[in-house]
Amino acid sequence: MSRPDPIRVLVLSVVKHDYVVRGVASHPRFELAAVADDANQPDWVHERNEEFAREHGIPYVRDVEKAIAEHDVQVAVVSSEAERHCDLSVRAADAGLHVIQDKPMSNSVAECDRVVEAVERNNVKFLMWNRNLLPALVKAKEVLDRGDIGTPYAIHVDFYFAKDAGPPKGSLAPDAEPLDWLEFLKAAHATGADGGVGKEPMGELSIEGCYPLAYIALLCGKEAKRVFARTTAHFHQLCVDNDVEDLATVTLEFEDELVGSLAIGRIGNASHPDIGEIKLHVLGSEGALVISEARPEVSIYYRDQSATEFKSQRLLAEDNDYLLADNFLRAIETDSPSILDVRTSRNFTAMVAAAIESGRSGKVVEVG
Amino acid sequence: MSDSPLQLALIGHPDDAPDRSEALRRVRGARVAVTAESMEAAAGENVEFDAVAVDSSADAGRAIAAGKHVLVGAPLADSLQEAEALLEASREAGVFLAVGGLPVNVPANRVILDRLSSGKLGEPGLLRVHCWSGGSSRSLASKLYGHIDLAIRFFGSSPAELYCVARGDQSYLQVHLGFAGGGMAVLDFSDRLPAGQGYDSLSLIGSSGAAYSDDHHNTHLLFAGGNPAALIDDCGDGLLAEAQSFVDAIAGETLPPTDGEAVLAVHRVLEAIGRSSESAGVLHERGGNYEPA
Repeated sequence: MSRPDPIRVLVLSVVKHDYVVRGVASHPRFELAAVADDANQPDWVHERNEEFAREHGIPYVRDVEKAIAEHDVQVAVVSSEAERHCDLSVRAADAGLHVIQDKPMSNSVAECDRVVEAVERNNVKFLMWNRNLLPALVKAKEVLDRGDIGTPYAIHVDFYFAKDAGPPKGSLAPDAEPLDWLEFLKAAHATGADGGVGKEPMGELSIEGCYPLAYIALLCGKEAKRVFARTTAHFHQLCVDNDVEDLATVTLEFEDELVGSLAIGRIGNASHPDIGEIKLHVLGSEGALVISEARPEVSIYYRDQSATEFKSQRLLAEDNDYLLADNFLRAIETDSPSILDVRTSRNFTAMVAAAIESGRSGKVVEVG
Repeated sequence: MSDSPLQLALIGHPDDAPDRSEALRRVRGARVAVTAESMEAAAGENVEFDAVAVDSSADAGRAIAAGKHVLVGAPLADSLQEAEALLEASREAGVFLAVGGLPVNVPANRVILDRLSSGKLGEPGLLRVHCWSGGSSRSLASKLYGHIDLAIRFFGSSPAELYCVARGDQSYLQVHLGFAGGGMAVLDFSDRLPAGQGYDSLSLIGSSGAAYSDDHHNTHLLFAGGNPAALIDDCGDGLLAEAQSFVDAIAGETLPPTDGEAVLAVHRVLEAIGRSSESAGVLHERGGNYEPA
């Protein structure tokens, strides 16, 4: 029996965390063919792309369209700076490639709309990388689908990353130069805390908000129509200097009786023994559900352990990446939607934009 | 200061509040002289008492009128106007009026408040509370008073803005508070759990640390066939400390003033929360009042 042909993947920029590409590559049906980016990108972008290509023994091409034309690829994985995500995704979709994109989709709803249009016009598949196939989320989905707690009427997500982002707020001299967003995030690459790398500063809602919003979409199948938010730079001078939030709370109102909330923050290393509290609370007509996203986990302690080492190790977390790749494969082969499709992803950006506007105006904002 | 114990009357339905009855019986410097279902019934017992523990604003009013010191289970009243009237009556009668049954006196929350006060957690940034129960419908003030009081104490001021979403005749309430300086709180309250164990969860994120008071961390497992059952530890409710504080205050050389402003601050927020839930609008604090933006 012959094995099916591999699906060849073009990596369109890989300047921040590379777990998306590695997740795709972990699936035996996907094969990395090349890395590509635009020639006019700065040196640091080329260096990271080249390093990844070298590690994987694939070519790096400084011309996106040339790479698409010459490498017989069917899927593009986009993991550039956030402000370039949509442009690269549109070009890939217009070339007939299915698209896997790192989060966030974009900082701009208009840019997301371009991707929606391109993906639908070209009839290609789209997946925004997410955490919806972590074991705890899979379990929560099973519980809800079985009807164990009836119809949900409230859902709350706490999503705290206990990571520092440079000096604490107020810890620098008053006459200190404002911290440069791009330079700081480039330097944060070594610790993997560079999810917001790019020229445009992004707050925690923009960088990570799609994860908890994806949980809500997965479990309740609904999207918020009105939001009220509080946002502030509470922890890090980097966020103060760049006028973006590192702490936010959002009240979410849906099209029906469902109510939700999101509490999100980059709360600093000292504020949690592990990566941070990530928890879901769901109230239903017949009961309630409290889920800790980190479980299952095992705790490890030993002499001379690094203060920054997480003491609890998540189990089966890598399965999420494999399962996402598998989900996308099925979407392609059965012409079905992926677990996080292009319109839902676009709507997350709209919810985040509405929340940021609400945080600044102090008013309830309709999601556009 | 008298050496004889303070004579307490426990008014209400002790069977409905066994923890409260037990706490009052364990207080040093006091003894429960009479237990009765109402102030009238207590008076009919022909027993002298100095102070009462009551559960309703109506009984609190009767006790004040009778010149008794009063420990009333939160809330003091269901409305701001009623609370103001009771505080005024207590001032005129020269009696001590204290509000009890407050989350701030729960042992875990006392620890958090202590660490916050000592600066270990930095500036408070986010308070997150889930408070779910099953069963009886209660007034908005009954559901929210204690945690609004707690939020004000954690942040050190009344909220600068608030927004409330209510569902199902207020059987579900979600309250979003904003404080001066950027602090925020999201609190949700449900009366719709199936009958049985309730759920409380609280976390406070500060600028340099965080506290998680969550019954996930106080759960034992019972294996008796099938899936294991969760056994939730009793984390303590602070009633004994509250009752002791009440008795100590009365027994002191000088009767302390009732902290009426703290009580009214909570009631002002509650009144605004009620208006926000009806108007579906955000209210901002201006000069002590909450108004639309």
